[in-house]
Amino acid sequence: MKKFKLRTSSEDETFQLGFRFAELVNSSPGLVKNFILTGDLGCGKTIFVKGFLSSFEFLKSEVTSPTFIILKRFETADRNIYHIDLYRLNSPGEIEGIGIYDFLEEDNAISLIEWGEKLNYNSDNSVKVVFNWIDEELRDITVEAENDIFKIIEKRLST
Amino acid sequence: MIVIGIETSCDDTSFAVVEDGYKIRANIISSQTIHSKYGGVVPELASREHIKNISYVFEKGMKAAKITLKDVDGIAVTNRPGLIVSLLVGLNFAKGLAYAGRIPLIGVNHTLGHIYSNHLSKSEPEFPYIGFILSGGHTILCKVHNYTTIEVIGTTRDDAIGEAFDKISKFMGFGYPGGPIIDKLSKSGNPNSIKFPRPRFKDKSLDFSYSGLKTAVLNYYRKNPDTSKADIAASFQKTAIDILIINLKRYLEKENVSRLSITGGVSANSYLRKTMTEFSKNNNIKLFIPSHELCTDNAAMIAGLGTRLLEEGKKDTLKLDAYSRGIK
Repeated sequence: MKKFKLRTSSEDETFQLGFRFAELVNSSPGLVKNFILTGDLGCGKTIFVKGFLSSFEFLKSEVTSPTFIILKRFETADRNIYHIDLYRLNSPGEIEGIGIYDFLEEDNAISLIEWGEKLNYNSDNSVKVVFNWIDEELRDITVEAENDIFKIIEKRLST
Repeated sequence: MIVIGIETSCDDTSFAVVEDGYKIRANIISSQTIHSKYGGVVPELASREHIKNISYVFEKGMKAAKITLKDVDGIAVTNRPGLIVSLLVGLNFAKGLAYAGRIPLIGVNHTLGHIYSNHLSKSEPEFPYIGFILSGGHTILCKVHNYTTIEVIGTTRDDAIGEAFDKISKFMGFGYPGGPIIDKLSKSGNPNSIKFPRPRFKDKSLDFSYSGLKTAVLNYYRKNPDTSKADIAASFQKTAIDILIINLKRYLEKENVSRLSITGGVSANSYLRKTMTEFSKNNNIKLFIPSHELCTDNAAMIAGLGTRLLEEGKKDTLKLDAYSRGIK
């Protein structure tokens, strides 16, 4: 696992970061399958997902918090994108009980999982994004991924 | 006409028996009965919990209503929106009953079901009217034209109002569900002690947003951990309800409203009930809010709405499917 840190200084920048990750996924099909999003409440996880999905032409207003419903499916022409939120789930049994592995392993699908650290799931094509609250506006964001993915992400995000 | 209702869209497994669309003969909600039965909190989000509960709530409800399957004229079941694996438990149970008893089956939208909870009474609102659906998953202001047609006036762009209550409660170290906890805590706090921001949209939309408020409250708590939690709770609660009132006022500037319905779990909140009662009185609006039991997720509202759909001649086959999304 390799990691690098970046900082966003507004909600809009976190949104843009999500958008850029979606572009990266689109330019390298099959590279990343899951995004494990970690960070406290109000740190920008859902905003990141809004930015990600905006690249697939889903409106900001269409992407609302899935906390209550746990899972929302967004269908694009060639794949399903799952916006999942494990905030209300605790035990591994509960998490398994929602059928999560079926979604994570679905062909061609991409999952973005808020509170994803609750899921003990290791896969070579997962990217971990950790959001840290600094103050009202600033967020430190750490991106972790396996070597091959990491190189591509680093290259794309540093430009 | 006796219709049974089955609801497994989210946390609760619920079963109800409703006569003629409004007389509740039984309304069993798992979290209210089974938790106390086992003397603890049973996690219910997993579909396997619904599987464990469903026969129990069914048998208990049939017994309470003193009926057998032979007396049942219709089976109503929530088939959208919700967590698919959970919805499927209720749906398949309903299909099994429908097949075994040759009883008509009807799929019901959970969100429209909430609206129907104000019709489970003889003094129901006359169509059309304005409705709020406020819960852990919804924040909708709409015009209700009939049992199945609503026109959305505004909806949340991020978090639902009930979700903000839950998350703030948990963040301050209190439990779940946060609605009743914040409600109770707020009674000893000053609602005007902290000024939290209200969302503003550049367009003239009557949409809602609770993510900004949630984040502002959490930020305040992070920076001022010594402030009275009751003051934070009361100030948050007031702002959360103000956001609803602001949009309602803006709607009233253009449209005439004489009947207002509020449904969904958040309609159990005492501050909301008080504020909305005063507001309605001052604006000559007749207000409809269900009893506490019918505010939260329940199968009586599903059976009630199912009755109306069956009366209209609607019916589903055993091919009926479940869907995660319904109304935004």
